Amino acid sequence: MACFLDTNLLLYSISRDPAKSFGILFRGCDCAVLIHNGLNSGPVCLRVMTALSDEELIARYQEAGGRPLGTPFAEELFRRYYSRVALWCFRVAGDRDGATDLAQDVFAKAWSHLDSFRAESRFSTWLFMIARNHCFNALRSKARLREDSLDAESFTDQTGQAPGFDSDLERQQLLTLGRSLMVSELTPLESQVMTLHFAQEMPLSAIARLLRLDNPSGAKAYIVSAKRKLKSALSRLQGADRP
Amino acid sequence: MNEILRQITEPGPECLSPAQLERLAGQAEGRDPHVEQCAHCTTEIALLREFLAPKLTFAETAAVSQIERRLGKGGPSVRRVNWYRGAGVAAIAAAIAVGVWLQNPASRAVPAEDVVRSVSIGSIAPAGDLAVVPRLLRWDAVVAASHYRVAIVGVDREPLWQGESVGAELVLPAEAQALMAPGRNLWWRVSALDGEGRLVGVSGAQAFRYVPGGSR
Ligand SMILES: [Zn+2]
Repeated sequence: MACFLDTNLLLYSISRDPAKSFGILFRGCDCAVLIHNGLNSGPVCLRVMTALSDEELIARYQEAGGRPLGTPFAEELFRRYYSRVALWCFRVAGDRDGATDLAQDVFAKAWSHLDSFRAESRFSTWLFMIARNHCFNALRSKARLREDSLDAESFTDQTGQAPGFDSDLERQQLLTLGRSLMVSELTPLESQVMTLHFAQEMPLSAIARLLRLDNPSGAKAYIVSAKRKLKSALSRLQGADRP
Repeated sequence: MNEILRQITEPGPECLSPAQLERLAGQAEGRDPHVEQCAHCTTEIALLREFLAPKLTFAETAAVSQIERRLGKGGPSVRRVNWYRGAGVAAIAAAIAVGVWLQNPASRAVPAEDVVRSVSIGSIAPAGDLAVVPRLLRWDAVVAASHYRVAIVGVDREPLWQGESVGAELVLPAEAQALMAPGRNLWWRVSALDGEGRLVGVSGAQAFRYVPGGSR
């Protein structure tokens, strides 16, 4: 099949000096040639590339010595995850611009660490961890928690009194007990909302989107309910302890 | 109370590795003695499952398509431009010869379908090793440009700072100068945009670094 130079030609900038390094990709026949310092990669067939697994693409990328000649393999790999990372970032950020920023950061980080990918987990899990950590850190650093979180006071108001953790319980015992109550007393969704809000400091709005909560009061209702259950379980246990 | 809740829900030393989480996420019932007692790991598995096989709402579908398009146009490493149909081989070769740096990753606000034939912006300064931290960036003006977008990038090509200017120079604020640690390799480049936000010129990536006490 003939290649059409005028059909959707894509130029790849594959190094910091695009005059020395570039690629020419012809959509007409799905093949590309990459040139770097006068060396060329030989034809890279994109149709074959789409048939490779994630892990095979990484292997080809690493065999090519990473960037710049491995670039098309990495690009195909990342493209497969555009929608998943976009959705994740959209749920965290809540708007398209913020999500685009986050998603670009996620892929930039993935790019910069791809050489050191060691296949200890699947690529998808590795990328998820990058997206998760980056987005959670970004949220924390924006200090959005303060804007829409429940603070201790509002909880006290809603439940009528301060949470009943008793000071005479040893701290470690209390934590161990609390962890087991998180699982035994709460529904899975309540437990997930509590974890995201308190351990990850996620704003309630982002939690509602990430966990796809569609009740009108969103994550807040789960926190109120979970705290009430924990408090009542503790009261029960403390009552049973007393002679 | 909140502090106690934080400690109860945060990960502990026995929490699962990504590979272990992945194994359980792939099973319909993620049975594991630790996970059954751990809110953190249960949550991680739920999030990973949703990441790998998400269920989108209608509103999310539209948003994701748009974000995906933006990612495709301004990916972190690969910059691409859709050239007009009919662009001749000679024009393409010329573009390659002058080393056109393709679409600025920071300029994703410029839709690729709006990219017009752009010129290479020359004479950009400063460059190379600099004895003092630069205060001003300068480049050749582009006739069709209404404003310019400047990006400073690091070795991973992650944009570290971005700024805009209506003229062919830009005074760097303190936050941009603060990036220029002694010996740190940096690059900067400038994109010219017309009044409708279309890319009309791009520079090459200019390497520079601050080397106290000496210059090239
Ligand atoms: Zn755990």
